[in-house]
Amino acid sequence: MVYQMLMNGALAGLIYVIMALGFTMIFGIMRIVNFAHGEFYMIGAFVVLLLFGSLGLPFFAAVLAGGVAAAVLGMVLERLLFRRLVHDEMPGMIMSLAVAIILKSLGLITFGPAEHTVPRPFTGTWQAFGAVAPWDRTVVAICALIILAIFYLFLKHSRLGLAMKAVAQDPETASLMGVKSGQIYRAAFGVACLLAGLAGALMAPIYNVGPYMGEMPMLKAFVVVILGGLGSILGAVVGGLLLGLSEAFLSTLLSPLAALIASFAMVLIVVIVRPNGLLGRTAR
Amino acid sequence: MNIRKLAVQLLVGISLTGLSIAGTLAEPIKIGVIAPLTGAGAQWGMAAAEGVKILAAETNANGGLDIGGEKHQVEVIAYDDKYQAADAVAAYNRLLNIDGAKYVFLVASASTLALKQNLEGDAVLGLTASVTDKAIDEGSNFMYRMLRPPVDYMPPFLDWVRDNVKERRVAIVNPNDETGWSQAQLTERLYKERGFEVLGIELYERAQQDFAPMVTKIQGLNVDIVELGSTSPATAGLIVRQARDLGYPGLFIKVGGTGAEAIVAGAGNEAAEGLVNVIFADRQNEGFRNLATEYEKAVGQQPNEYIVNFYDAANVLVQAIQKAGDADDAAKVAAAINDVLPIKSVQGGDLTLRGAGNREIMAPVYVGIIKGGQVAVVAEVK
Repeated sequence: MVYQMLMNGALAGLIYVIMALGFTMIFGIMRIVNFAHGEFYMIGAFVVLLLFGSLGLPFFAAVLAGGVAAAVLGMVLERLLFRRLVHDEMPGMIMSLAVAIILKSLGLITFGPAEHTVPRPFTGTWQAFGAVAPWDRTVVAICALIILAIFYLFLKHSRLGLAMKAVAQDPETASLMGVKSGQIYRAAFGVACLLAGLAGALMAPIYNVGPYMGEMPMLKAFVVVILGGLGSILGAVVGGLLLGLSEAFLSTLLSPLAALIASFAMVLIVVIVRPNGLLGRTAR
Repeated sequence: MNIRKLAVQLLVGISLTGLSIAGTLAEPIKIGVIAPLTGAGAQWGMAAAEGVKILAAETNANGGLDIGGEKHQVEVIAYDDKYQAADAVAAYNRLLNIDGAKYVFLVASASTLALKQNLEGDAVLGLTASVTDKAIDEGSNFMYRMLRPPVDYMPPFLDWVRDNVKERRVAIVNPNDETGWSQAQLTERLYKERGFEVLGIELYERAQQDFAPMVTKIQGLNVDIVELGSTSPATAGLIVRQARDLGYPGLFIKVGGTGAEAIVAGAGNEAAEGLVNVIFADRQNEGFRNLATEYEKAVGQQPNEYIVNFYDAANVLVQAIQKAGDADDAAKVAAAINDVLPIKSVQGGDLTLRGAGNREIMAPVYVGIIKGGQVAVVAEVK
């Protein structure tokens, strides 16, 4: 059972990581707590519902389209709404809440209130050490690892990624060095929404798809980034896996409610003991 | 002379026009629906709201409700409670204080219990689909249940299960709210009374979508029946699918809440095969099919079976309002419910009144089994 709990925790944790990466990135670079992040997850899932579920396009093409749709919308909203609120945390948070409600309501009007099911592109299971893993969740986990690796390389080695890091560390100095902060904000918001859209698109066949599906992943992303440290990429990875594993163990050994309480108890402790999160200082 | 005659004619004309306008502008009768219109329970809530709306539309198409010779249109106002008591209270206050509704249909137990005292205090008539036995007690004058309560249909339903399935080791799964708690308690007792071994009770949050940890725990209990209780159909589909993925080979039973089609949609034909579910409507019935057609026109999907119960209950309500002859006095209307029943259900057969305080409208209940992705009605629960 321990291996099964580890397996469950790792599979869930990796998707939390992808969600939290974008969330923490927007905060790190723009100082905006984007409460609409879950709605970009929803958009990715709805695109897969349409393209793969209804039109029968290849699954990975639909996933890519879901991520791109979320990214494009994110960039448009960044330019129209969020740009003027960069580094202004409270108005930015309120703006993101308003955007979240509007996107959710648009999803409700377009797709109706009922939850939809997307056909499964992968079926069957595999086993290791007595632990069973469904192939569809395994594929999601592999994709999450690939996305994580690409994201790491992008930040570490691409000019745009380095510019993002520079703006996150010191926007004024970065600007003096010729970095156009406006372009960086747009790109950062787009990449963050791309990650959320990809996460939603990948999870669409595994969970139910509906206008309110982004609420729980958004909540998890929030917990993850508080644990790992707002703005910290490595913190998002550690926090995501920590949350996934703690949920898997506590839900199995105690109850889902105990797992929920424990995750927020961890948040409380981290906020009191290390207000910047477990890795908040090191990775900013 | 001509001028006087013209003046008289004008006066008569104006008076008649005024009377006619007064006739067409008779106050509409407002009926509220507080139900989960979004989220995992939306299939129940949407069916509830549309069932009442279809009945109202039919009444209005026939000229409206005749009360004391005056025709009243029936207006249905539905609010989303998201299965949350706090949202139900907000919706109720709006219905009462802004919309002016005197009649409220309720779906969720949490909402029903949250509003129970308000209904009595405000003299607002409530009709609920709540499964909890706490919904109606000795002090309830304004609350009716519109379907057979679990305490009434579950014993014979589980008698059928005992006599027709060989599995005996049960894990009970329910949402972590009033509906789930009351169902878990009741089903645990009823399963044990029939010789089943209840090895675990698992409660989950309604917004939850990942059930792998819960399934892992259940597999450790070595059960051969997972009782899904009052889990919403969409969530039940997820649980069934994830349990099959993790290798659970046993039987699923769902003794609370209908919606086998949505379970199949979520779980897939193969995973859902053999699932035993309580059914509140026979989908082959002509009355149900007519309602389903209307629902599909409005919503674009097939309805949950709850549509029958809410349509029937709305019919009982409008008949009672008409019988009471006073749409503003919910006490009179409540008393008139006793007079209008028995009444024909849209499915045929009589709706009768009995149960707790003679306040439960009894409708047919069936045992359904999923076979090849379709729900087959295999028995009526007597």
